[in-house]
Amino acid sequence: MTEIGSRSGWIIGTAALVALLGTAVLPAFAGGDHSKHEMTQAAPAIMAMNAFSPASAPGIGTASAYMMLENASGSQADLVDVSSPAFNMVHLHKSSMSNGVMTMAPVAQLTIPAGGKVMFEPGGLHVMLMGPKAPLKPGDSFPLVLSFASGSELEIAVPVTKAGEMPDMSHDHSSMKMN
Amino acid sequence: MFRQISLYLLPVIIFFFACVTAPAQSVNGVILDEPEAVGAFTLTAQDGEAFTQERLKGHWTLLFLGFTHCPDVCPFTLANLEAVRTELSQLMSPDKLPEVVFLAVDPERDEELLADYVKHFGISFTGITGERPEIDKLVESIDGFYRLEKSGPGDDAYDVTHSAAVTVINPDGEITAKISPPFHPFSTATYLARHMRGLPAVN
Repeated sequence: MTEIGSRSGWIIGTAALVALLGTAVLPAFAGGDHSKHEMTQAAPAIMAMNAFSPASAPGIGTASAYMMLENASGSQADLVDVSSPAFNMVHLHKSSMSNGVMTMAPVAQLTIPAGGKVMFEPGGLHVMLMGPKAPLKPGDSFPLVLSFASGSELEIAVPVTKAGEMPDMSHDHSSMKMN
Repeated sequence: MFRQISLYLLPVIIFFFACVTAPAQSVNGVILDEPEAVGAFTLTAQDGEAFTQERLKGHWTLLFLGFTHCPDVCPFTLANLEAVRTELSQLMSPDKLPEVVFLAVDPERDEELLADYVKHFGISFTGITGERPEIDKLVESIDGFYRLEKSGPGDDAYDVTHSAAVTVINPDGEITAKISPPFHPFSTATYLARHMRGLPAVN
């Protein structure tokens, strides 16, 4: 039982630390500690971290990609388009629950406040991917292009993960590696 | 000296702070005052066998309603239910583990993909679907909801709005609880383990 207790503590602790970093401490770190994660990104002001896309079941042409977008710049960033040469259709979507029912709606534009971040996660904001041009399996990765109202674009490589496997948000930044 | 102690205390303080600031780890469960029997229905499992309310008896069941082309919520829920089973396997013997049943409400697109679909998430999972009226019987019985968001006859990329909850069914084939997202594997497993042993819920 103690094992279980301490394990749960770690999970909760990690979640809270991530939340803390994100909400309270992040702006202070934006130009410092986190800058090491910027080096692989094309547009320096916006960072995409922990991107992943769970592999779809065989024959299923829909999937989602998740990530955390962080805006280290002094002005807000408006994400206006997402695209990928690996899929026929890519949309910004948001799932939400109301009265116990899940619905999904397109998101036309996503604002990431100056110094802020936006989390894409299962059951919430996600990049909906439809019609893969070739089947994708765990271990593969595909390019995803994020286009902002300013005209800047950010291309990231999204690793395909096994069902149920999520990147460890606390320290694993392997998903940020670029092609 | 005081500094040293406070340094050791830091992780403890962070832990307690984490406990009160981590609502994400709680379980959104509702336990029914009185178990309710699942009404009669006849659907087909992915192996082609008939699947009726009788197949829900003799073991605990976690029933989830969705569709195979669901991009976000269904894959995440099914992956979590497998993770819940993995967590539960550390708390009970394998033959006591709840079975996961996926009710596919979009048979037109789901039927031929269902076997591969459910196995993708859990080798032991059962996928069921069938005629619309029979699907609706079970949906009504679990107090569920779905709606195909078809824009027209030619629309084959439609979304399906559906209940998010997982229905917990006891070995007598009666609904005893509902769990709503998020389904954090560890906390959901702890919740279920208590529920299955007849202990009051600790959300």
